[in-house]
Amino acid sequence: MTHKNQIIGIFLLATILGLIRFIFINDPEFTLIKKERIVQQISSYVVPDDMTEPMSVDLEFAKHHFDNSSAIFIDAREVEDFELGHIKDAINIPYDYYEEYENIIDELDDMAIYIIYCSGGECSLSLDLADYLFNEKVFEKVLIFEGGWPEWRDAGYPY
Amino acid sequence: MKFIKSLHLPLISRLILGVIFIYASYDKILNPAAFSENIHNYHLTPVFVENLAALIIPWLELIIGVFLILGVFLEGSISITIGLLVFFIVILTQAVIRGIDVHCGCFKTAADAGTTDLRAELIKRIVEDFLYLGMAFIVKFRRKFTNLDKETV
Repeated sequence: MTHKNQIIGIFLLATILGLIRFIFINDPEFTLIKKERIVQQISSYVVPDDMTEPMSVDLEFAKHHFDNSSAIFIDAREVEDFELGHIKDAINIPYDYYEEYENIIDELDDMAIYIIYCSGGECSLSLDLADYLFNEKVFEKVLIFEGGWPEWRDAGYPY
Repeated sequence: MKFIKSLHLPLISRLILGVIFIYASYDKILNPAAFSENIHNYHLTPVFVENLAALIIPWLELIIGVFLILGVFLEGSISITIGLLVFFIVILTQAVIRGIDVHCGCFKTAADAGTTDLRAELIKRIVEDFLYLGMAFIVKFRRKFTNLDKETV
């Protein structure tokens, strides 16, 4: 078999085995073609009562609820990053170690408004933690501040 | 040169590479969803290919690992090995340069980057991959490194 045919054959074999593996995956969320998730954004300062999934908020919304002390901020980054700087009075629940923070999570009021953030940009920790609190802990008002710590810090807001 | 040729470096290199690739594939084959999330965290590939890549790459690693150990389809296997290692080096290097925290999938600002051990961990992985790449090239150009004929190395 030629060099080129060997490469094609190996890739074909890997693809076939990968597809066979896919048949045995028992996770309805794991699709062959992954879909990009779009988080709905809240357009006013009012949090809907009947949220069906965590929603996204901007800097202005976060600041408004910070000033009114009407939301609890949760920082989903690791402890070292939290200690380097965080939104004033935020609670640190690193998503990667959330099992270790179950005691803190269980003490939180599941009816309160929570604004969860991480490092901004493409950081997914806040979304992951929001999903966990909304779906597993049945918190009612879970919001994601996608701009996160960099946007808050750059705006010069309290930390 | 005679001494180097007596060390059977191509044989040793392909056995080591084979074991490493099989070991690397094991967990990824069992947990494609977790591997897909890892791929996502590098922010290099379009989202729609992440699951496909997570399904195919581990099998590719397993197959070339087995072929390297058995010494069959060696030309194709070692070319894919080199390709994979170069690919890994590129994605890890860009992660270090861009300051991506691949553990959490976050881009860190320049000021924050390098404050944790993750950066050191990535650099260690890059060095390891260069070592493996060197071994892969020894296998690729095995006739220069051995007294034995092509079929036995």
